[in-house]
Amino acid sequence: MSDDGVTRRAVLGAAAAGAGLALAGCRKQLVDEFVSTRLAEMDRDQVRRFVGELETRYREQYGRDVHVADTPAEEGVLFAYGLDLDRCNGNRKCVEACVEENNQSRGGTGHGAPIQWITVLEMDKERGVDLDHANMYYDAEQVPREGHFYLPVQCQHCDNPPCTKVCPVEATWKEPDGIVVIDYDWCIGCRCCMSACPYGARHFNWTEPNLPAEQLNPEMHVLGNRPRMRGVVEKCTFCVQRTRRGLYPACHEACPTGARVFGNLLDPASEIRQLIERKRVFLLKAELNTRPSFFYFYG
Amino acid sequence: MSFLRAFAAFTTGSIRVVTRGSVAYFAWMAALLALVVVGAIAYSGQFEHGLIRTGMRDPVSWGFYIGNFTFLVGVAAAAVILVIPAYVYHWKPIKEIVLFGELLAVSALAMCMLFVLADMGRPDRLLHIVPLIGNMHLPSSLLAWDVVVLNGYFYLNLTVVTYLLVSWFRGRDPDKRFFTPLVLFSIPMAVGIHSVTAFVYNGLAGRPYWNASILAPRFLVSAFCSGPAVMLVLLQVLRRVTKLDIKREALSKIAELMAYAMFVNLFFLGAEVFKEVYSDTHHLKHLEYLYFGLEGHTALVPWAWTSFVCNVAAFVLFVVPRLREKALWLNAGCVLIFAGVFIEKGIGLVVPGYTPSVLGEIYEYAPSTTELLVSAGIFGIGALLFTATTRVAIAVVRGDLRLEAETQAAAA
Amino acid sequence: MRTSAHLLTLLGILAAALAGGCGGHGHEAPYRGALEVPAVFPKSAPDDVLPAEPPPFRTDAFPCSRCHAGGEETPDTAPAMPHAQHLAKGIECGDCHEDVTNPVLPDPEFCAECHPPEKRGGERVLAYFAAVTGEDGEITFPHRWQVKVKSPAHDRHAAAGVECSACHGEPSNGPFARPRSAVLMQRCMTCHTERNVKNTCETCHEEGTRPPHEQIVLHHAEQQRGCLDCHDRANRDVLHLANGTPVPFTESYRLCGQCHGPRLRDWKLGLHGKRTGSWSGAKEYLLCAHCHNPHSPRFEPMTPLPPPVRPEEIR
Repeated sequence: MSDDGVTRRAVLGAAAAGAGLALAGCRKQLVDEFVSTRLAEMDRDQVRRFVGELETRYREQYGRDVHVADTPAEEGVLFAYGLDLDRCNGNRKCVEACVEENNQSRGGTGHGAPIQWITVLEMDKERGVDLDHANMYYDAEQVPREGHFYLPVQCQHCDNPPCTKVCPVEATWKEPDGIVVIDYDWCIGCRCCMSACPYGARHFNWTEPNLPAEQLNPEMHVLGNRPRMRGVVEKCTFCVQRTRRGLYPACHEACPTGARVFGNLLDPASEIRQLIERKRVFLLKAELNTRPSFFYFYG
Repeated sequence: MSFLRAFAAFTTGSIRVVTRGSVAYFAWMAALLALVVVGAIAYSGQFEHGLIRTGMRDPVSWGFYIGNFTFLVGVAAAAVILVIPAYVYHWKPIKEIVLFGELLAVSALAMCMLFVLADMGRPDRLLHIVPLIGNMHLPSSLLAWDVVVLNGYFYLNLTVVTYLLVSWFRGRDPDKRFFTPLVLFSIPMAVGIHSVTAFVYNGLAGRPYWNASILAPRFLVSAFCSGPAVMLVLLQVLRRVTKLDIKREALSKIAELMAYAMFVNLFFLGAEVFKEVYSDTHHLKHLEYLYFGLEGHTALVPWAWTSFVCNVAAFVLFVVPRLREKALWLNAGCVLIFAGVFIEKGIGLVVPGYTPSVLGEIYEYAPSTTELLVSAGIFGIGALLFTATTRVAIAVVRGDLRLEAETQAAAA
Repeated sequence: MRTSAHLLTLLGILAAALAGGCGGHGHEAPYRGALEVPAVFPKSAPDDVLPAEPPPFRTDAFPCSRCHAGGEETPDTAPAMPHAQHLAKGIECGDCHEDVTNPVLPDPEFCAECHPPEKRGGERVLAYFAAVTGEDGEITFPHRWQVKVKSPAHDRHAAAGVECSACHGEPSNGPFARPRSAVLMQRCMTCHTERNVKNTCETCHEEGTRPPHEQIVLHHAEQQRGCLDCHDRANRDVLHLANGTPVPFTESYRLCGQCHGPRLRDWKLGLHGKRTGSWSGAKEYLLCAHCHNPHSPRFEPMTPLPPPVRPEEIR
């Protein structure tokens, strides 16, 4: 079987025609879903066309001008992140910035919970990094609370990602610049990746997400913050729509304590490389050999 | 007459067999159908609003559906594995036992696939995971492997039962050279489907409750208990309604084998409990949650102990010859074992794996009404399928459904 | 990784043989590719990693209130009166201000003679007047800091030969009469000392109000340190190192780095402090005092944003 996207499209198209007949009266959108092609199999032209379709769709849907980028990974770039546990004070500004940047569901009646890609864990200083006693629901007047420290967790963009390995349809993969991404149009919502992720970094759209048009971030990336649909998994993409334009991720920009370090691991002058050389870093759950691109340190 | 025409006649005959019967039969079928309708209504709500209708959330992202799926894979596997003792102990009606075992397997597999479908966030993208049409992530994804082996096993069993039934229907002896290799192949496949299903969980290093090498063996031995339990009840029914020569000793032997399997199951559980309790690492949390509860979250505790007590009681019933030879105790043991393993797999396997979550969160999962109804509906479909196919099979085995009779009827 | 990949491949071959080769795979996908990652980093970074030039001091990001916590803040007015533009056109102080020794704002009608409302610039004049007119209709100059300073007698200063620019600086197009108060006070003090004029607190500050500096509480190794360890005795516009070398506020990190050497190193490398902009290109980065109050450098506690919704609460 020749495995290019076009053949698949034909096969799926035929199957979809049958399915479409069977599901007479089924919404057109559903049929469109059937004939979709995996993003990873599209060539540049197909991707560009697809992105154009997305832009039109979002403009109609949100009544706003949007831009969906398809910037590929830059050669010689491998992203990594550093987080200074001595600086983080658990203020959750990163969480908010992430939600606004990445078009996460704001939740609400009929829309489930707001989706957040960053979870800030409060830990006891006495216990050290001990996830069993971590509290992500701390609700304090002021932080840091006495005797506690804070550890934000988001996608660790592992070099040996357990999540992409288990996906039965290859809807998630690691890009050459180290970003683990999801093809929202190919994900079947089986949630294997959520079971596989040791960091709780993957989140599921349990129902229709709620993204008011006025809160939409119109600068999008096809593999990043474009609006998601019900029944698919989403996660941190290191703000691919920003970082592939040379910008820092939104959480990095938002952090008021300067706890976050980001850069290109392959550039000896980058902040992240200097971090690894000058500081002793540790990885979350290093024993699992996931080899995260997310380095925690005590500055 | 060609096989195809015989098959057509077999189909019409089968429809007749299924659509006729006693009041009790129709009442049973109507009850199942009602269950299916209720399940379908519940599912339409889930289809419309999404999996928010279930009790699953981010911290516990698989629940009752996948638990049932896992349990039924065990039933499907074990029903066929029963063929081994049939051969080893030279039971006379081997072919019949194979037949009914594989019918059970086919029904169980149909339910498995429906449970996976019910659990999918995007059922509209089902084609993405259909072998050859979609994009199977092989060899890396265990779930993709599971889809492959479950489909393979499903069609393998379907082929064997169809072949056996149509052959008898035509009044011929099935060609051993054709079906014996298939039956023999289905035995490693049965082990395969259950092992691969176990590996879906087992391979997740971030979930220590599942990431124990004892998991696949435990899956198998617990399946050796639950699958034959269904078969034992079924064989007693067959003994009553057909002329099949199923000896009392054979039933007792199966019960004895189940007792050993249950012993191994309990031993494996003990080994697991010992390792976790004595090591006392943070992996213990999951077991602690299941048997004692964590921080006041104790929803699973009664279930866990019920399952344990059922298993131990069934072991005692089956290991004492005087008890297992009495039909009452035998059937009681079957019910106990079925319940014990169902709880163990359906609830006790999936949920504690997520509790506490990878970030230490305790979300106490409980299946929602939608989940319970959809599951009931799927069991209804399975039971309908199994009742109908068994009815046809019994008719064929008893000689009530024969090609000559069909052609004569058609001629008349 | 290698081993497991091999094992998986082996498994794959076995499985393919078993299943009769199902599901094609191994195509060239434009969206992915292998990238060689050097396993070992170079031992040390080249020296050019360090920023060659100190970053510009962002005055807009510098909260003066950290030094001048005494005053109540009032919003800046905009637009400002562009004195420099007027002077450049040959207009002299006396052309607009009747009494040059005690200048007051001319009537709006006077300005409208040159800037009629319908003409370009007229709107801005109106806006300026609107901005400096209080609720009571009185014209109030927009003082950013209400330091309860006695109104300096302009006539007396003028009589003593003090140029406008001595206090207000050179006329600019920025908001007038708004020199940085620390700078202004430094000027007052210097001038009064030089001219041997009375120079007690009460000379300028109304009785009962405390000069802003007295409100500074030093929580920065206060047992070992005093104001003049960092601030220059003679010129309050600059800081000084331990060896006396003056250091402008824009390079305060040199001063901080005297004690906090490793921090300074980390900051230069981008491991401490906050940078914004581009990870690969131009960055803006904050100086020590942008984030830390130099008089009390420990971060103040913050109010966290609300916690996530518990899954139990979602229906």
